[in-house]
Amino acid sequence: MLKQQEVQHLLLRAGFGATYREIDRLKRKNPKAVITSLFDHTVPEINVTDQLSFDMQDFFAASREERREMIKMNRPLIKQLNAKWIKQMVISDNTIGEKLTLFWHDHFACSSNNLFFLESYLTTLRKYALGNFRDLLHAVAKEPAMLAYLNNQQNRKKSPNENFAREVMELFTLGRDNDYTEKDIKEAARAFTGWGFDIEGKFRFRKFQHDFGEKSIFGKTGNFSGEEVLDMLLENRATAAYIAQKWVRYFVNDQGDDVLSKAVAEAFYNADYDIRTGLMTLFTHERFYAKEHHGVKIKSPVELVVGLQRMTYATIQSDDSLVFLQNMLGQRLFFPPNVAGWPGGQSWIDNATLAFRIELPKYVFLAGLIETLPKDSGDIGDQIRNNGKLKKLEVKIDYDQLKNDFKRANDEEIYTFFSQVPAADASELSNLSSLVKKVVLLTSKPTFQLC
Amino acid sequence: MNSRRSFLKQSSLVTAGTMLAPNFLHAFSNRNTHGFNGKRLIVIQLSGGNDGLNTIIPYRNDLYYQLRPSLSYQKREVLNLTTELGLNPGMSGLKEIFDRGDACIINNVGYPNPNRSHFRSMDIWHTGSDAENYWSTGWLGRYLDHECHDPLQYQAVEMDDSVSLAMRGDRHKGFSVSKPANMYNTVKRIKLNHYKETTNENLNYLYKTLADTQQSARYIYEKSKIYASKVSYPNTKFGKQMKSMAELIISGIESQVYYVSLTGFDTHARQKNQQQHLLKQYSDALLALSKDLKQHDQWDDTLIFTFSEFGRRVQENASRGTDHGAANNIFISGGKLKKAGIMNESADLANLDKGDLVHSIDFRSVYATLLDKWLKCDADKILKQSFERLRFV
Repeated sequence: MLKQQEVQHLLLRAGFGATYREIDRLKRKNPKAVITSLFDHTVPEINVTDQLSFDMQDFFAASREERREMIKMNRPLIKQLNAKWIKQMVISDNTIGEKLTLFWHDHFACSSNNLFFLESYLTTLRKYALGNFRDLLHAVAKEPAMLAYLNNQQNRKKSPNENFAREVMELFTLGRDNDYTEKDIKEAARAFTGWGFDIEGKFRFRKFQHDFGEKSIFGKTGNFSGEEVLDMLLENRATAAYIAQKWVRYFVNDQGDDVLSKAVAEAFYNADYDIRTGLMTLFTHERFYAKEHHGVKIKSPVELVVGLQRMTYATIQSDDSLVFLQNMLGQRLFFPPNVAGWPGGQSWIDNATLAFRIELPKYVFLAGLIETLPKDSGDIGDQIRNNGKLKKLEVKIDYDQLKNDFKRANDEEIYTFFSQVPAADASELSNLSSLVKKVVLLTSKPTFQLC
Repeated sequence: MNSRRSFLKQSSLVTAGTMLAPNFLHAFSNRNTHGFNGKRLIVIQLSGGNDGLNTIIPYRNDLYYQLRPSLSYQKREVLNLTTELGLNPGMSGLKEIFDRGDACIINNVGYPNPNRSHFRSMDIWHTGSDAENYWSTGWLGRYLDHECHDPLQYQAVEMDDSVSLAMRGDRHKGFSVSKPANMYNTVKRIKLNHYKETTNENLNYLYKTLADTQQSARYIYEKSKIYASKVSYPNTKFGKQMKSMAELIISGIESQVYYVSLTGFDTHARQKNQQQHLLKQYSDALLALSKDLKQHDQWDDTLIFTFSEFGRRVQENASRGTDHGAANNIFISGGKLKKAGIMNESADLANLDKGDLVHSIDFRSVYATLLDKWLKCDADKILKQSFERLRFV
């Protein structure tokens, strides 16, 4: 059996945390069964374009004026897609699938102002989140959002653009300056020439733009296609090692854990990049539960906002509220700072974001008045900006469930539930009259910023 | 300078804060004398991509009028700077500063392979990377990392509710000061007295940030009450930010870097009025600030650098606006410029790259000059490369 802190550790890392009742239920079960059950669910698609009366093809066939109207209709839907994704993380049974989708968005960092592209990109991340990394890599590399973001639409036989090939190696597979040369990038870029998308927003191999000539990549020579280059990258164990290392930093500790990374990399590679196998190895390994890994990760803004809701039966209602929190806390889904994703860790915290994190429970549980404004990005087309001042968060809280969960819990148990950092001093809870006040106090603490 | 430091040491409010906090959390109450050398840098960011060509106007250039049939300003409208160039009619404030010899305009600033996305180009300006590299720290943040072993948290302050990437280093970050009283009230509720340093570095970091914020927010809040400006600033968010910045400076706060942004420059449609309105706001606020600082003998120790993430396409679009472009002009102002006026050749409208102006000065040359010659630090290390120094300071 896992101890309370260990169950919380598992659920916070493999997901975003869970209710007191759920932790209590799981700690009575066989650990292996608990971990297996985490993988038991599917990752549903998230769709917003089904509300539109037109598709990508109609869009390109339309006149100038019609297009302008269509863009107007699209705009709020990107905000909606963003918010719907977060809401899904809050209600999902499959927290590991959700957590992984978030990981893949950071790993395959990408942005677009095209609603269709974004939705398709997200669908691919979700479809393969827990599948096989080979399928995921091949599919993401063919997403119009990614091809556009990395300028591969401009990668033509006569004027190759290396950006895509470079990032595929540096960020998606081998890792920076690891086992590839500038020449490998140049040659691989030739293999990706002609990879683009058509007016329907679908991947298209434009064979007249493709360089069918002989290429020399990683010491091999042949008429390699883009797909073959991706497979060559997967053949290299360094790719499995790189992903495993990133997983360990993401799920376990910013500082890494060499023993754990090695074990995960080996299992992942031997299972031909089956993501489930890699992660089962991670979450069942004794190193995952090592004391030094507990309570040492700073929650990302999304982890904080989603986790707070999942632990307390609170649900933030409006898209504007959800987008506002992302804007204030410094993590905007679909708008990573650049192709390298979010730097994470201590970079989430400065005096402004820390003060905001401390105030957040007041906005959620006490209808506190908001006095801060997010910075304007300057982009008039910014799809997830907040228009005007947001005075209050729109939140619903199921107080009956919340009270019911804690009805037999003493202060120390409540304290332990909201803090992964040991040495709890629960005495400060004793003079608080209501459960909500206790929750506000505990979720305002610096310790709650850690998981 | 020494008297300020002893104020810090003796001030009851600082001791009140530090008495509650364990030792390792507050290095700053017994700091050595490293720090403020009296020179301060103010960075003003014009967000959205300011159209430099309608800011510094080549009013005798036929190409300008050809490419901008509805957006151009006529010769009689512009505020003359030289026989070739004039300011946007909204910028009488900057004109006054310019005529005093306290402004320097640098044309054609940019970087190789310009990126036309707001986010990416701003990222490049903030971090100081090449277009091909992705850095996670800002140029001023690295200045803090490099320069200060143990900086005051408010060594670099931002007049906003958030801290820009430019101000984020690996170990040190700028300080948001838009509402010091609120900030202090928020963080003071968290008790630090029982906190002991642990092996959990992120936990230590959170507590340290908290302790620093308690002390800095209170210090700034107290300081902000010392002087209330009587100079008239534009009654807008930006105007108020500039005013409270002047008040902090005149009250004697020891910050070396100040950061403030003005947004709205993404003028794809009906540009003329909107841009002129914004430029007027900018330049009126700048003039007010300079008057305020001059009256209190702070102007000579101040250097103000204004930039935008890119300029705009030379040819106007069909909506009487302009689209994203590349190279742009930047402005330097202050009381002690070595070179005032127009620093270099004006934009070459005959040689465009895909319709955009071509840069002749790398923006990091401007950074290198500011870091090296004004803030007196190792610019090459901070920028991770050596860039030519300019002569404006």
